Amino acid sequence: MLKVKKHAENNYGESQTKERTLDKTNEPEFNSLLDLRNLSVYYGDHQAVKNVSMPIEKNKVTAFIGPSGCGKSTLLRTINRMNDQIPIAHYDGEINYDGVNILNKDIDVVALRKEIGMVFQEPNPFPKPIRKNITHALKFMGMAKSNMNEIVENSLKQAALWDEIKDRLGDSALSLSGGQQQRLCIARALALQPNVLLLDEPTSALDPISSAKVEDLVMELKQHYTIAIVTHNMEQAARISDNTAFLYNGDLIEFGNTSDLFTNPKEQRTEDYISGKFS
Amino acid sequence: MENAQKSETNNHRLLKKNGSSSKKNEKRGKALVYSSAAIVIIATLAITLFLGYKGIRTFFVFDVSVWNFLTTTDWDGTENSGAFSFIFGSFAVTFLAALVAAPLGIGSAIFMTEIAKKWGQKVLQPVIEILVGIPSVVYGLIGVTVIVPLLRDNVGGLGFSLLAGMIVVGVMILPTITSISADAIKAIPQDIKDASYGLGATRWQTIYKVIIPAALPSLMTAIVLGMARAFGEALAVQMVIGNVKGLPESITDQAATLTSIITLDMPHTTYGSVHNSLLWSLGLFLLIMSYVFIIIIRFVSSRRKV
Repeated sequence: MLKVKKHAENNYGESQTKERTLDKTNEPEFNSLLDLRNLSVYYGDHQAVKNVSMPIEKNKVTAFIGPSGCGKSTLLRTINRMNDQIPIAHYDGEINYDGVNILNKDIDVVALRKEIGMVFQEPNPFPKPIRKNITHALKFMGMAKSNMNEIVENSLKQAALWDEIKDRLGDSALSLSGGQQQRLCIARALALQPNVLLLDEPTSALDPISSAKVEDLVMELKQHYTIAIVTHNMEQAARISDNTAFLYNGDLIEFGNTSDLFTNPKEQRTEDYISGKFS
Repeated sequence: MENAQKSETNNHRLLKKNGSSSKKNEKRGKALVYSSAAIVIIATLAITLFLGYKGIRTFFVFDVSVWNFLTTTDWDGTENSGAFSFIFGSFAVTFLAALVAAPLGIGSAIFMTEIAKKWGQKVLQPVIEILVGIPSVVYGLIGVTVIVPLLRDNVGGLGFSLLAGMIVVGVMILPTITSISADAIKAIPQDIKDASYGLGATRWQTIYKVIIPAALPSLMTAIVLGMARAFGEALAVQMVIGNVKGLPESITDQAATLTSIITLDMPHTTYGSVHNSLLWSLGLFLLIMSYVFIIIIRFVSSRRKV
């Protein structure tokens, strides 16, 4: 806890630079792309996230774990301002990204969401052909049609889906299996070439084999993308993440390197949670 | 041993019992529900058969040619009468009204479900419910006293016209289309909207490219239901359309519809006469059209999206 706060204070000045990479000469403990500082999220009077400060490191997988209702999904949805959809939601604190506080009301959330993509818990493809699911958002950006085929192919390849469905791009996305649908949703997000990918329990609605495929994909993708994943599955967090944040009742109980956190938790509540004493 | 055997075979608590009071209630309830369903079916069948019998008589007893009846416009109450101008009038009013009501209805449905949810639910929804409940004669009255003079002064002609019918019926079916469309849009899962917003789509892009396509079958149903209501509407149309027997040449001309002719002519005909029988045929045509509308609705709403 302490460590995290100290880091955030040290880093704040540097993260204001226009470059997305932080100044390495200063040797920050975390090479953060997103910096959460004293972030609180409220739904009306209820405070769902309490004063959380932590980094989300570039090209790493950051996992958010914790029991149901601990605020982990809320936190994730705050990062690309999806909570703006809920009229009673409001924020305190800052999320620094590329030199700006993305919670600032002057931020263009539409532009922000193109850089910070999101994949949801339930696979939610549009009821349209597979190809159109990917070109959907590209059209909004005014992209020329000639480039689209290439992007469709690339993003499906990146999502490890190309070989399975390349012959039926015109079929309805709803004809795919749940796991394929979820990877299509990932491909759809990748087509926009985001910097950050937010995954909100992406495998909770999937069978184990499909889950494993999505996990492999996440490991693969972190070379190019910064990934934040919410999961209720601790094994999954341990397998795929580099850093882990444990939230409980909206408080960030512990944040750190995943292997440290799982093998040598500093907080009793973290230990209790990861050893399954409560869930 | 013997006792135990007996109680097991005849008296066991898990065996079906005859003549118990709960069984009787069960039967009574069943009879009530079954007969309700039967009465509804019999009523529908009876109306269809009666109207069919009455309507077809025109063509078999009075030897009116079906083709002549459907395609000519000379309505004089004899065997040579043609109903085309009324058929045309009914369809014209229906489609013109839908042209007014569909964009407005779907637009306000989107407004109340997607844009101003609180205000829409608090203000717009009750307003629409009130509009649905207003009797059609009131719409007609307002049409005669407000719309008709307004058209007479500003557009020309007598004011009684297809255009007046279009406006009055359009406003009448607007709440039907709005409320069904609003339900359809509300039923679109939040998941898909989230997906679109999550990909950086604006609200309008999400409405236009995700919500409307996903709700399209139900929106079509809303429009067709509105059209069915417009097609069957008699009183309000009759009050503003002019009821002139002949094909209208422009939208500001007077016209007549199937329903308005039935209500106007029926009191002046003798039972069993050709004229009377012709009106039954118009009724049969209306019934057939309402079946067609229902079939269209069934077809549209059963069609799954890609």
